[in-house]
Amino acid sequence: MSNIISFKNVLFSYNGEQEALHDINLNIQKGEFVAVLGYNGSGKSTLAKLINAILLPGSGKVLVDGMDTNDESLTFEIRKKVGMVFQNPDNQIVASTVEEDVAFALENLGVESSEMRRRVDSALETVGMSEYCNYAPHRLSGGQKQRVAIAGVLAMSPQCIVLDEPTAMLDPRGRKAVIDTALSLNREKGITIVLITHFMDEAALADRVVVLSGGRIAKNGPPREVFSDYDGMKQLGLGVPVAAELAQELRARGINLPRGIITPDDMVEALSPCLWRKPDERSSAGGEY
Amino acid sequence: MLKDITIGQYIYGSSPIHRMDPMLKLIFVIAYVVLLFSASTTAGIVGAVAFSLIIYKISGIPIKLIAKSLKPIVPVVVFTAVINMFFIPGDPLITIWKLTISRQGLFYAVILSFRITCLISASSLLTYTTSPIQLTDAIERLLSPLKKLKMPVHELAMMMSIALRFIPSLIEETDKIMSAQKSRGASLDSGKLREKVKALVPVLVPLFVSAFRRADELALAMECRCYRGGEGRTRLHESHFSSVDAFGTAVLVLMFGYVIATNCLFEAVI
Repeated sequence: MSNIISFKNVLFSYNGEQEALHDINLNIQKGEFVAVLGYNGSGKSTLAKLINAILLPGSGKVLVDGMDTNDESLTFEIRKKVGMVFQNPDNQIVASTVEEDVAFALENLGVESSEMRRRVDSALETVGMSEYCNYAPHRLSGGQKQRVAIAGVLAMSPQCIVLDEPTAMLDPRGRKAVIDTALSLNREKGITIVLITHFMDEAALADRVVVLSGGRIAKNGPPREVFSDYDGMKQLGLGVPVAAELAQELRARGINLPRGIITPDDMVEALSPCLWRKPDERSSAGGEY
Repeated sequence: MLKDITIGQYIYGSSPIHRMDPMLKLIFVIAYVVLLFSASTTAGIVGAVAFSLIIYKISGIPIKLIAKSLKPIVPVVVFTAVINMFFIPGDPLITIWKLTISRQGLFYAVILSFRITCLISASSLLTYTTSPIQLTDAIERLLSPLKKLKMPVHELAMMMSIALRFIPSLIEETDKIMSAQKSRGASLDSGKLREKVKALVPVLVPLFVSAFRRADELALAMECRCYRGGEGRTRLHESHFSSVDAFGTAVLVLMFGYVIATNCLFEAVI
């Protein structure tokens, strides 16, 4: 598979002194679901903004589908390919009805109105917000607003969507709806997703996890591998998914569990054999109870 | 409490008046005002008043609302009527002390009251049947020829529509900030006026800060969605000249014909 986004020796600094990103080399393949983790100030959002030419690298190159973000003539082509969804759902909805907001990008691109209608409807349907098409944005919940924002990006038919902490301001239900939407876009439409998040459980769903620390890539690998390194993650100031945390605690109490437990399903699978055994066998197989 | 504030006076509906092209509606209101003031015969003015009543009936806007929109202008109407009554010279009708009411003056005052009342009710009908956003859009289209003179018409309209879009968000925010400050012991609605105004400072400062932050983020989000000004923009709701619009135009032209005819045929009363 080919790379849709590649960072080549990217350096970035906001004020010319402190570097927000040092020498980043990262490739994201078409159709991949990548989660980017890191504590506040680790350079996550900077990384996101470099992808669609909101920020330009101080040195090095960012290529989006082979296009260099430094080339100003390609800026709009790049933004059409890579859509961005931000943290605050209120501050990214421009128009005063849902459907007009979804149409905003298409209006900017000069898409013809009948074609626009079609694409707006299909984008709203994809995120499950069709019935709200005439709602005013302030009447929607946070999760719904965030789905509208995704639809607004989706209408451009991008190849990649970058979500910059899209769930940070949402309640658990809204969070689930947004993540499910992102997942289904990735699985069903093959859209590359770059999810920047604070929630380890969301990152566990990704194909690959990239951990940033102090503007450098500290870890880069499948979630199972990254989250298995419990101590390493704690050292980076980050946690691990709840299931991994639980597995770690159980292991500390002497229960012998396999490595790489990161989702509740993994946990169930690992624990259920223990429950089927007789009590006297349990202690030998699963440590002490 | 603040949430109940409605912006503009738009009343949702699906009457032919609601469905009419907003830009056309705006032009029609201006044309109607011209018509109202060019009618110089009794028949012409009666026709113009009747016309506005019929349009109100079609729009399905409750009569109560017209009364409400007219309330604030009652003093203005009375004032102009009284002034006109006394200061238009003509055949004296009644003399009170040194002031004389002439027949012409009285007549003029009545007609002027009708004109002002109709003017206000016609323009409120526009705001009753057109949402603020449609209205902004209409103004943008109406002023678009000025783009050639380098007037930032699109930018102004965009600013207006964003302002409208953010009013509910900012109201919500104000509510939150007020609660936050109250929970810290601020008394916002007691004391003298001076104290009340002073107490608003801790509400307004965070509100401004947050508004600027919002503006910044919104600009970023707009850029990400390929916004680059009005050049080459298309619209989701393209307006087409519909049958309602055609009918409306025809009616207005007929009204103009009627007023011109009455002006020619009958003796002018004003």
